[in-house]
Amino acid sequence: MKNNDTSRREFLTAALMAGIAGGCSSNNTFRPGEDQIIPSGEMVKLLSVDGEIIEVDKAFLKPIPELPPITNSEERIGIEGKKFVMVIDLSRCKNVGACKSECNHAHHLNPGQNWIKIHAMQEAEHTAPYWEPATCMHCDEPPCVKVCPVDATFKRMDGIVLIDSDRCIGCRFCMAACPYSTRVFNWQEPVAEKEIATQHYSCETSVPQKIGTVSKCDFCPDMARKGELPHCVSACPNGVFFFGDMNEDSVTNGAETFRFSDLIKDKAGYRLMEDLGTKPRVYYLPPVNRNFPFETGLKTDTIEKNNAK
Amino acid sequence: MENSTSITSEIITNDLLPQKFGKLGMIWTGVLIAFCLVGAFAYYLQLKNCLSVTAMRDYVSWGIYISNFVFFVAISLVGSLITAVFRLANVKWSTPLTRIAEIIAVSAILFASLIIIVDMGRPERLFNLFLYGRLKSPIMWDVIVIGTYLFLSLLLLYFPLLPDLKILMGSRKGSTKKYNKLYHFLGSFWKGGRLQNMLNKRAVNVLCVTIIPVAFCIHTVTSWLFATTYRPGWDSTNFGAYFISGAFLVGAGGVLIAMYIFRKAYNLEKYITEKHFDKMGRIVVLLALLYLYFNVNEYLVPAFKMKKSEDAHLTQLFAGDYAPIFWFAILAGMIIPILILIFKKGRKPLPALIAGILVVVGAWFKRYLIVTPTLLHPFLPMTDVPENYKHYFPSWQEWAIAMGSLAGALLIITFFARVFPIIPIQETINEQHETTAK
Amino acid sequence: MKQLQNKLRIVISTIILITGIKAISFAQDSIVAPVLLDIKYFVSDRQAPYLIVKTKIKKERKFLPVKDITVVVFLNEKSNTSTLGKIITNEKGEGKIIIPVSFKSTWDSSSEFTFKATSEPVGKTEALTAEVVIKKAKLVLDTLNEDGVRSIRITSLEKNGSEWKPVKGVEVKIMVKRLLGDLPIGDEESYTTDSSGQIIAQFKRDSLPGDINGNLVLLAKTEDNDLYGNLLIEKNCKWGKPLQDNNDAFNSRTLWGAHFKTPFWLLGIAYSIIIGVWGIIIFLVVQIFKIKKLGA
Ligand code: SF4
Ligand code: SF4
Repeated sequence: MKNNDTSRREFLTAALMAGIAGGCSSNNTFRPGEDQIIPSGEMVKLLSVDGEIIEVDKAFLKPIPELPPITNSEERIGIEGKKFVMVIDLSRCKNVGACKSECNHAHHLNPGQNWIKIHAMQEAEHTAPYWEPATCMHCDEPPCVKVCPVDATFKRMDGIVLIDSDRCIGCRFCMAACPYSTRVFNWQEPVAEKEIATQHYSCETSVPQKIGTVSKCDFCPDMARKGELPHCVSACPNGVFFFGDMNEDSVTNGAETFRFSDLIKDKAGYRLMEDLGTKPRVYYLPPVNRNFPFETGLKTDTIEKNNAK
Repeated sequence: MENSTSITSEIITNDLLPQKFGKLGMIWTGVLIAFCLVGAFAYYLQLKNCLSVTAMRDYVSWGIYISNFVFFVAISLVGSLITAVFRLANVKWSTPLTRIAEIIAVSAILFASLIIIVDMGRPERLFNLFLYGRLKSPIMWDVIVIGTYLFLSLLLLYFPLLPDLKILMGSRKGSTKKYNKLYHFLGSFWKGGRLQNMLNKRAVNVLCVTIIPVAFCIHTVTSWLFATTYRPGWDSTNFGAYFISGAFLVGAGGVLIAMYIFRKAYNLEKYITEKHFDKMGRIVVLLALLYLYFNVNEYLVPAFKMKKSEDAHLTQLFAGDYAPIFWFAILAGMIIPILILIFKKGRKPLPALIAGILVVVGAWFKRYLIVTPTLLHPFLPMTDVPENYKHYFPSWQEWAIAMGSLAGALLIITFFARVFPIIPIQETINEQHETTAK
Repeated sequence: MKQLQNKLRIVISTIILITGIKAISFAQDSIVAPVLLDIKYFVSDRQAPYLIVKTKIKKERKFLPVKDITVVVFLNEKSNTSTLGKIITNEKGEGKIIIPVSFKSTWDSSSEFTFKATSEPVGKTEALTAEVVIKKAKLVLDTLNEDGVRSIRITSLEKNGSEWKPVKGVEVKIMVKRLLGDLPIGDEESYTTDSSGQIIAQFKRDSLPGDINGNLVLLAKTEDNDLYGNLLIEKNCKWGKPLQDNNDAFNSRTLWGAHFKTPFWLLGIAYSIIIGVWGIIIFLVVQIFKIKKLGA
């Protein structure tokens, strides 16, 4: 009986989610949205492709199942069975900044705050300049977490480093400790619409920002729970960002999906500041065979935007 | 003491009892209170608008609050130096200076903890440190060790005070009358019996032994707040020793100043003699040389290699925007005081005072240099931030709070000297007896 | 007339832009584009076919969703009796309609359908229409393992009268299901069925991690096929490498661990120092009381 139930649930949900949420995987311990569905007991009749009539529990028909809110302790443990990873392909970046604006928008960041920074890099006088978008590296041995006195920033099982703004005391030690300078501080009361500002703070969405606390890129675990990509990944028109799960050994930018290990091997992926021993979870593909010359990113308006925002 | 034979216990007591503020004392106290009030008002503004009233931003996320904190912690080390080290080494001449050093230590460490709370974005969440404290964070170590040091310093102030309290209570002088209740509360039980004296002495000895390692810890841990990060200029294995030597220097400089002022204000020429300036002067020279040595280590070695990350930072210090402050801190904080104090004439009270002031001011700027320029040289370029995030100059609120805290520390010392004898009476008398007996 | 219509369209879209999608803040500075309506047909191997309607506008090179548009979908003809359903697009600009059971006889009677989607002109908003013609079809997925070479056979079948007949020239993507984006099983992006309606594709993802038992979900689909819409089939197989999720770092006592996961050496050092020093402090405080007692 039990068996039957599960399989039915599986195939139905799979069908219903397909095309809406991009599908869900049944080959893993974690299935976005699915585990939380509670059958309502109310059956609905449906027509199959062969013209047969089948019955389905109404609860499975909701296009996006309502996810129950996650508790703080669950947020601190993370999504079981996952090891999230990001790959940033420098050969495709031309400083469009869509990732940044989408991220700022989704997380209600204030002017002057950017979780994604697109650095104009040039290692030495005669080396090639390139654009380098940088997020939080979600280091496996995160120096920021080491120094936090109150567990306000923490490392999760799925590899993500998050911030609990309800606990942070604003000492800013983590900002000094992060070698990637990725953390931003709310120096004043963050401006946000009322319905955002009055929400309960969630570590996974990092919303709403709280005065006197730190924030940074969070890898959008709330989106992953829904089976969706982080905002920057889906926003980039050039497919620079790839996101995925090391346990599944694949990363995707929405349009293309690669086997993570192959991608890193073929394109000689590397991580930033390997010598510091922070073990980042963000990998970079070197800026070779570029899609755009560096100069295309130098459009004055982008530069201005970068400096102003 | 030079003319020791002629001094009787009564005269000593009379000379050393706390005195009412004179006119100058009133003005001094008034000015300090004014500074504190301005600082308090600035802090009120900061509480209202959070840290946005400061000039700190995402890159320079620590500013003069933290430099001030380091300065306070540094100067507080002097308590252990003058009192504990000298006592254990059986250095007799330092007796009149012990209480000065101890009260400097207590007030400095008190304000160190206050200024660190001022620096917090969410001071009302201080209790989180006790609810969720992570023993792995150097901040936690600092909290523990500062609390311990404060407690030990208070004890070190208190034990030697006990005999004096009895003298104070017995005194008929009007200037101490109104504090009798306080004296009673603190030391009504002190009879001065042999057993009491013995217990007291033992306690002080135990304290002296304990406070030295704790004092080393407090400043080493403070240096680790920086040295445990990767930043150029902070990423150094030398930092603990470097900080401690600097701390001893600034503390000794502070004592020079305090000696001069108390001597003038309370007419203590008989007790704080030129011999004391001479000896303290020598010690400052020694400590300044030591600190200079660590400075050479700290700057020369990385400058020899000029790693890319250090390059920008060091060039800024040696020849860039921060060069004036840097060379001022080196010259005023070490070299000039050495040049003054190395000569016998330079160890007279007035030049010694000047040297002391140079040391302390130089040390304050040194702390500023340790914190700020480093933060302006992150590993990745400063990108996607408003232009004003790329510089740092403290706002008036920061100055007001920092100066207010310095004034507050001085105020505590001033009030303490008003209520308690700044030179231990009983110990001076005892020593007097010993010398006469010889 | 045509010009007028175009102008009207621009005006309408502007209104929609300003009122309907305030959420998309950066749309303001863009050139106004018309709202587009789109309808797609989906069928998975074993279950109810459904339709997805989408309302969107084009901005720069991206489509942005338009929400809160009421769309009615009809089967074959626009009439009350053939109304499949009515939906309001959500914030992703999407709405979904499942073919109701009451259409069983119509559904059985033919193997080719037209789905029509229309949105009423609301206020000044212009009416939008879209339609899609599909034939009933399905995919079949078999896993083959010959001489250790793993491959997947896909058969595409079309309903012809009461029979399912293989069709050639259908473009099919074959993937392994993954959480955020499915991974192609080989280097090819897609495959096309041969004259027997078949594809044999080699599985080149050796030792790809599956679940803890090594299960993978294989999946084949057509994407917006002109004739058949979106067909999908999934199948579990045991071709994966069993997942070894390693949480040692998370569970062990490290310097970046949480509150309760302090390394023992640190605990030992810290507590012995704290206890030692505070022990002395307590001793000293006791001394004060001893002195006090003597004086009392
Ligand atoms: S990049 Fe910085 S903030 Fe992110 S995990 Fe690493 S150290 Fe922490
Ligand atoms: S600022 Fe907040 S998150 Fe950062 S170390 Fe301090 S308490 Fe932790």
